[in-house]
Amino acid sequence: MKWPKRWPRVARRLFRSSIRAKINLGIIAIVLLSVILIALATSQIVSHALVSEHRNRGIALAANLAARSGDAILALDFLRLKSLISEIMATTDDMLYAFIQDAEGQVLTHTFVGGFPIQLQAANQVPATQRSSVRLLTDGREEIFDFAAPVLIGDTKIGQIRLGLLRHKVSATTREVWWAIFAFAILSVIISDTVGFALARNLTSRIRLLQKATERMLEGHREPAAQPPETVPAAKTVASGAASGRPSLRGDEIQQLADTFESMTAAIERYIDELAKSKAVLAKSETKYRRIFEDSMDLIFVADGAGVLLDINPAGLSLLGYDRADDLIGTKRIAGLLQDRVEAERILAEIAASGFVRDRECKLATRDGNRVEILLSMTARRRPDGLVTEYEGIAKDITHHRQMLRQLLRADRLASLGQLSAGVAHEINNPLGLILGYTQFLIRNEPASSDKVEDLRTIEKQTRNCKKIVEDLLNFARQTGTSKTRVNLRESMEAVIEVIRKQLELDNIAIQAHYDRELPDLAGDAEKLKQVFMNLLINARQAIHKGGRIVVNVGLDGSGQQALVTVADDGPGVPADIREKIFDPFFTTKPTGQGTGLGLSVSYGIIEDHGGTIEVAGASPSGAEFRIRLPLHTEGDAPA
Amino acid sequence: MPTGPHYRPDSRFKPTAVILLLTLLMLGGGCSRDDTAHPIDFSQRQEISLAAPADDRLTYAYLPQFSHAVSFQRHHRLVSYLRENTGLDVVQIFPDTFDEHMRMVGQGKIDISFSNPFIYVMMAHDYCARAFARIIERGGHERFRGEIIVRADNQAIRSIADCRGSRWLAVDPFSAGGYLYALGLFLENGIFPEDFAEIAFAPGPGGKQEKVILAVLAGQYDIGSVREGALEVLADRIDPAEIRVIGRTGWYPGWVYAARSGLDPQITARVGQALMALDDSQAADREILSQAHMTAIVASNDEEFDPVRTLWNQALEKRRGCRGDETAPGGLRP
Repeated sequence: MKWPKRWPRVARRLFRSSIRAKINLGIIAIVLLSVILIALATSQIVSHALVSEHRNRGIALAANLAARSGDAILALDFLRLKSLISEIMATTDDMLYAFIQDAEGQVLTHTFVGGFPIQLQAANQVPATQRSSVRLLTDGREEIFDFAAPVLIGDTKIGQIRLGLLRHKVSATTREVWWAIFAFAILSVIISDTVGFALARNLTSRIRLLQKATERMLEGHREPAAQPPETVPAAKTVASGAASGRPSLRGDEIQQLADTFESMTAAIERYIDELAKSKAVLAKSETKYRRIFEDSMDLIFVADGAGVLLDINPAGLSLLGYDRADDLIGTKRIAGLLQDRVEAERILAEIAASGFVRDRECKLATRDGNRVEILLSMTARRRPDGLVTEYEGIAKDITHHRQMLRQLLRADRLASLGQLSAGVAHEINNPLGLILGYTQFLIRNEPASSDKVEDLRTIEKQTRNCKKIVEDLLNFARQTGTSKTRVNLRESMEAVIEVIRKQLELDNIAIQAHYDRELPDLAGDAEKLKQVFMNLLINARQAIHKGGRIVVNVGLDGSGQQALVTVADDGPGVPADIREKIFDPFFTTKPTGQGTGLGLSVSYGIIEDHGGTIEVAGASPSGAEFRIRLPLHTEGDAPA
Repeated sequence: MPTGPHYRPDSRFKPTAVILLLTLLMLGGGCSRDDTAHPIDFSQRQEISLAAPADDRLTYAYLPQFSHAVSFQRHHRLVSYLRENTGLDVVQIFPDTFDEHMRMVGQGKIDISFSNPFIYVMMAHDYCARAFARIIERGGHERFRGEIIVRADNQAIRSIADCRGSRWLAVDPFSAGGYLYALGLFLENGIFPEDFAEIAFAPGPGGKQEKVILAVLAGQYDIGSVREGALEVLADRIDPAEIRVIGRTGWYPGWVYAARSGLDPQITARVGQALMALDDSQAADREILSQAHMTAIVASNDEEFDPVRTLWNQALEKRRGCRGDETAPGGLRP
């Protein structure tokens, strides 16, 4: 604490001094102040009393003398007058003079030696109507109370008595009183300071014990605090106080403070124990829920009343494509994370109305622009006045699930198409064989110069086209026979690239092929796989059209359990709305007559026949990328 | 209160300075004064010298049967009156004793004497003083008498006859009402001075009538003789019921104004006229007369006091009959 600079240094030092010093000083100050006040009052009273007594004594002496001197004055009995003033001088040792005046003020007799001080004669006159007159005179060294009393006969003044009493006796007596009070003050200060010192020592030593006990508590020691020494047995008081849980009321305030401190210590210990237990339970619960929060595969978030994110779990960060929570917390709003703002508003309105939404399907926009399909459940926490203070929610990523569902649907659809196509192909294949056979028979039987030969050759050609289509349909429907051997994908890809390279160069398309030398051979139909590769490369060349690049990768996927073949081009890519259909038979974006729409369907059928998957990813401007995954080991195969 | 680890009680504070300061305040407080002294130069001195009495002053004295204060109180206004109405410098003087009074008349120190008839008779005899006026006392008495008193609880002395063998305190050997008249009464009743266990006279100058009454009241003497009216003087200081009067003397002429021998008769006449001019019916005069315990002052002469002179002679003769060696009147002079 800082003391104001304008305070005197003594006062600042006093306020900084110890309690003991303060008590001692306080006692001294109180005693001194009391003594001073008493001394001042007493001195005034004593002084007044002494002066009053002095005056009264002088007046009485003068009046007495006046009463006795009347006859002598009338008789002008100077001897008697002299005797009277001599007698009265002998009665007291502080009388400086006495003299008697007649009615005209003439001095009849006096006690001075060596003449009468003439100035004294008229210095104090008392009228007949007044009992006495007192006047303070001084000769320059001492002060004298001059008393004048009239000598009256009836109402007639026949003279007056004058007495001079020295004042120094009054002053001396007053001073004696002062010295007595001063001695009393010193004695009082010594006694009170001694008593105060003992009391202060007792008090401060007990306070210091309490202070030490407090410091030990603050340092973490939890043994019972030391009791200050007191008439009440400390152990008993502590025991009773601690046992009853409330402080003992015996002893003085310090003792009561110590008892209270004991009780407080015990209570604090109990609270600390309970707090520790609660903390452990809370920590366990916190850990549990934190683990759920941290380890959950679903996005869990907390947002404030304005929808600003307060917390989000790692799964949520990963789902949204963020590395650090700080990029989201405090900056992003929940509504801003949803891809469809209209949908977001609708969800928030529903929460505002009902307090929650459950299993609402919607889409999140990831950091890199992708969308993630989620199943959102969200709750609002409200204050009693209805204001939303917090949102809590959980979002489950159902993208993969939805994709699987779509693939299942597509596979089911393609399977139906395959069965239909296979049935049709089987039915058409035999008549086509007959048409082709008879056409070739007619051609052989016709002279080479015959006009019919050309027509027949046209029939033969178209029949072969039809047969090719039928074979493709059968391949798509896996109705053709597959002879699986050990296939080296690299070699197969290199063979295909070699066949098509010339055409690619003509179209000014560069092709880059990367091969993983660790890729083992796998079991499959090499020719059919080449057909798949060829289909993909041709598709890429057609997508690029003129000028571009095709990148081929042949290797292992991340798991190391599958072979991964990717064919990527920098063409326009595959629009999202047709990705689901590009593997359907007869689906084509090419003009009529330029494609059958069976290439990717046949490829799909071959890869499915090998137990693998084929998918398309990417869109403009990065182009399209087809990924083929093939199992390294098929059922019943030994590892290569 | 500062707290924290940096706090250390400062034990350097010493209250010595404060204590010293307070002590000085205490000592200073005891020296306060409440008056302003008037300076007097005691070194300027001179011997006192009373002015000598004027040669033409007329001295007036009242026989000191009471204290000087009573004498002054009773007569100072009358003296003032005379001073104003005669044009004379009349001053009252105070002889201490009857004897001194008479002697001063004889010496010419008292010009106008106001005395009892017994003193006058002696002064006329010894110093040729001459009466020129007498007073009429309050109540209209032209004469007065003496009283024999005892303490009220004195059962042994109930009459004059019972006084034989008692201790008698009289006012003064020259007192009329306080001694001479009483002595005449006792002689008439066959009781002579030697029949008393003791005859004493009140001591000291003045106040003798009062002293007699107080001595009897105190039990110092069995009987006392005072002039009639003396009890009234002490009425405010004693209970009158404590004193019983067992006998009264016969009536004799009252107090008398006499001029010393040799005083200018014109002056005597001026004074006499002024005194006799006092009229009790006039408020101012009545106040003067009342204070002097008079009702009026009337003209008188020496013959009016012959009864007193006769009583004196009787007493003197009785005395001679017993003690032929006595020469002084009444045998009471020292």
